[in-house]
Amino acid sequence: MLSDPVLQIRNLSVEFSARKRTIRALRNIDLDIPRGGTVGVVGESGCGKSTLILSIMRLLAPNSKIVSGDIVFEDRSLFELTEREMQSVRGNEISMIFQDPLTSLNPVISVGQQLIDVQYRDSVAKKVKQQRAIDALSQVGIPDAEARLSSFPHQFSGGMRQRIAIAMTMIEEPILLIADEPTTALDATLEVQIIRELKELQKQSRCSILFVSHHLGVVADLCDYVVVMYAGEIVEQGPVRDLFYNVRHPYAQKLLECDPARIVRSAEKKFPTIPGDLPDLGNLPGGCIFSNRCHSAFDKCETHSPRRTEVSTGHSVSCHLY
Amino acid sequence: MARTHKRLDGLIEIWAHLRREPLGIVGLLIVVLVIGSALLADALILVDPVKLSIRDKFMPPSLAYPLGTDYLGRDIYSRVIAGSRIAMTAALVAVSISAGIGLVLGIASGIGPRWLDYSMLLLFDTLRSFPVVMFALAVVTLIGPSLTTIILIIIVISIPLFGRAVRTQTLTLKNSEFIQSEIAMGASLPRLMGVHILPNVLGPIMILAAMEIPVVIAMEAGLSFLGFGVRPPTPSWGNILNDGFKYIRNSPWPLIFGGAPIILTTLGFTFLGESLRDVLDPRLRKES
Amino acid sequence: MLVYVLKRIGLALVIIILAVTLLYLMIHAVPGDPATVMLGPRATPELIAQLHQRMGLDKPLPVQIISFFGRVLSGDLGTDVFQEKPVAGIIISVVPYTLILVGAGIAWSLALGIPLGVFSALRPDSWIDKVAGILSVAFIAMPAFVVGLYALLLFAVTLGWFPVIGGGEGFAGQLHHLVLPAFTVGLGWVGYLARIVRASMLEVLAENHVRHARAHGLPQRVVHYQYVLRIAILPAVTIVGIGIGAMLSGVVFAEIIFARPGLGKLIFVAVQQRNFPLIMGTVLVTTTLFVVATTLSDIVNALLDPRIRERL
Repeated sequence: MLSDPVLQIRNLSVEFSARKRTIRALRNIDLDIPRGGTVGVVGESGCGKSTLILSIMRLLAPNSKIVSGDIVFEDRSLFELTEREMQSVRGNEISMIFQDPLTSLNPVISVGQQLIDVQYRDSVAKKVKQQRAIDALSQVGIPDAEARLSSFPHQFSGGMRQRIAIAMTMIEEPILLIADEPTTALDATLEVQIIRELKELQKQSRCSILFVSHHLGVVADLCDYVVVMYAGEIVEQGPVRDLFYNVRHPYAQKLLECDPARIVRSAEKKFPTIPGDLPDLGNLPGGCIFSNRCHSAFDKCETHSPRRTEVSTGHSVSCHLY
Repeated sequence: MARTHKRLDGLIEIWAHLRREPLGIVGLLIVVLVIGSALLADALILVDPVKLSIRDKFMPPSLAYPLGTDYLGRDIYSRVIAGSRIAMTAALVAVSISAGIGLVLGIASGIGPRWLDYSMLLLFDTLRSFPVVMFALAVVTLIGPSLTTIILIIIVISIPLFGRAVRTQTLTLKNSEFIQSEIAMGASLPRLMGVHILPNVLGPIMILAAMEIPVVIAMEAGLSFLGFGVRPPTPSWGNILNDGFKYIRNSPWPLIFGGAPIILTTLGFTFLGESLRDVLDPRLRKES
Repeated sequence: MLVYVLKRIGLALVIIILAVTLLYLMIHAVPGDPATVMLGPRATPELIAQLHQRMGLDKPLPVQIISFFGRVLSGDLGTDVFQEKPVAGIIISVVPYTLILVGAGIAWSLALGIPLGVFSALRPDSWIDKVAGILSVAFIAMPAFVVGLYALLLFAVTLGWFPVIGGGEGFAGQLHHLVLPAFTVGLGWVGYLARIVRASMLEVLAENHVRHARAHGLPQRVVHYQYVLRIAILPAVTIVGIGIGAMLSGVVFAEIIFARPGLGKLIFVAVQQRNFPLIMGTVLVTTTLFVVATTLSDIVNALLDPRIRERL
């Protein structure tokens, strides 16, 4: 599909068991992340974005099970690694920024110590590690970094804490960075700054980024490849320009229409909605998963699952219309 | 009619949950056993629990004396059965009175003016700061040892437990939206208390009371063991232990069989209380 | 922070004063004053009047209470009318025994309870966790004095492994004498601590920052014992203060069952003699120790948690 991918996800399906029911959270996911590229994943909450990320990190809750598929990172299957080997991948080759900066740092350990702790693999002097921590903090724009090493997370604002989290990944110099809605919990003005920091980070370390968001504007700005997820499946994926200007899947179309930026620009100023509810992932209907909410569904949609069709180079969609 | 149905449904639901907790069932069985023996004590005893037969002193368990005899030749089995009545009386009376007082003080503290709340909290803290046994001993010295004294002491030291719990619950309710809107619509204080707050604090109170019963039983037995509780020769479990302790080198049986019902009963009530809390307290109810 | 510490100490003082006043009032509210109770029914009016004067009971109640506090502050807890010795001296001579017992009880319950809680929390719902859970509840529920009596019967009287009475001579002897009483007073707290540590450990393990630390590849060992335990231990610290307070009271049974000198044994004998100055003195000292312990644990807790430390 794309040349030299860092990470390849093939036919990944994940299930949860909850209250004697099986929730089929992810089904047949295929996704490549190109080296040095930025892939955006968009979709409503509950569409399986977080499950996808946690599958890559192998940090899924104990009640979940990988039913099929494989994730290949730098020519190694992540599912075949021992826990110990996986641990040396996390934070070293694959790093992650979480959604809520207010709760992702340990509240009783100083920020400096936490920045030093992530370097535990390096056998350099503590002084060196400390200097790295200071450099990283100044780089993400935290003033007076050296003095603030001994501060605790609650003494920083939310935006500052997200910068600290970015500084952490900066120190780790990962090959792949996963950012799980890193700006959702922040103000709009901070969002711009954080995105800028991420771009800067990528420029420096040439890492690949998997960026999860439901903010389409940010995705369009930051990413060069976009994946649209719905109810545990990928419905459309493609290069950012193709997808935004030539969107195919009815769900992806609706999603783009819902983007506030477009609504403000349009004449009607009316928020479109998608009628109906997400299908029950514990009891999936046959056919296309979006058929119950789709405005252009026809007979075949209720009975047959659509297969993935390539509509242009790198741009594919799963819909019977194409 | 509908009310009875609702209550019945509640009981059935509790039973359905409890059935899946083996420890809760064990606890329930023990509790039923102890309450049963307290109620039917007169029929269950073999001989008069205070009847002496000096010739038969320090007997090991036998057919005539299922749990042996003490230093005066009294039948330990009959004394244990009679003792269950004392223990249950003390527990039920003390817990219900202190829960009642705690309920009133707690609600008053929760909805009353700030100065009242503060003085209540100070009162609770002060009562709690007495080392329990020392406090009990001081009181016994003053008004003399008896079952009433023990019940009185237990009431006083248990009030803060109930009071604090009710206060917290009341405050949470008071700040909840539905009560706030009632206040905004001009509902009167007594109405709020009776209709909303009281029914909502009863659940937690019941759980606390179930958990407090073993503490009370231990307290009664402990004070009687020290010789400051129920007056001998009345057969309280603590008195059986006291006698057994004095003659520990002559026979181990009074000590063994005086202690066993205490451990059994406290464990029974605790296991039952724990399971009930899991069932009744929605915040702690396990996802299943 | 300093304000918090001062406030907390102030509250502690208020509570101690209130508690003692309450006790004093209670003693004087009951029918028959202490002098009559102490001397028994056959005391002559002259004797009673004499004792009244010696104990200061002839003055009005508020004056009595104030002068009582005045004397307490100058270290005078009154005179034991039976032994003709100062109460303060008698109490000070036995306090170390009680403190050692409480210390030993807390020490072994911490040493066993915390690892047990951590161990269970890291294997939730395993059979080991379930057994540990049942044991914890059982340890908490079983009255300490019955545990003590059974221990005495089994290990001292029947098996003869440990001495039956006394405080022991020399370090080894004292230690030998300490085992069973410390077991008795600490067993329930093993259960409490295990439960509290397990619960708070599970709570912290579910917090976001734990997943964050794992996502950054920190070793299991670091995550569990530094990142999680450091937070999970805080409620245990608070409870230790309460534990010390409760044990001060629980030692009464252990000291009587194992015939150890100490505050509990002292008040037991004083109650039998109706020795009011001694009773008052002992209750005052234990109440103070109790309040000091809980206050200290609150302050230590605030110091350990930077979130609280900051807010104060």
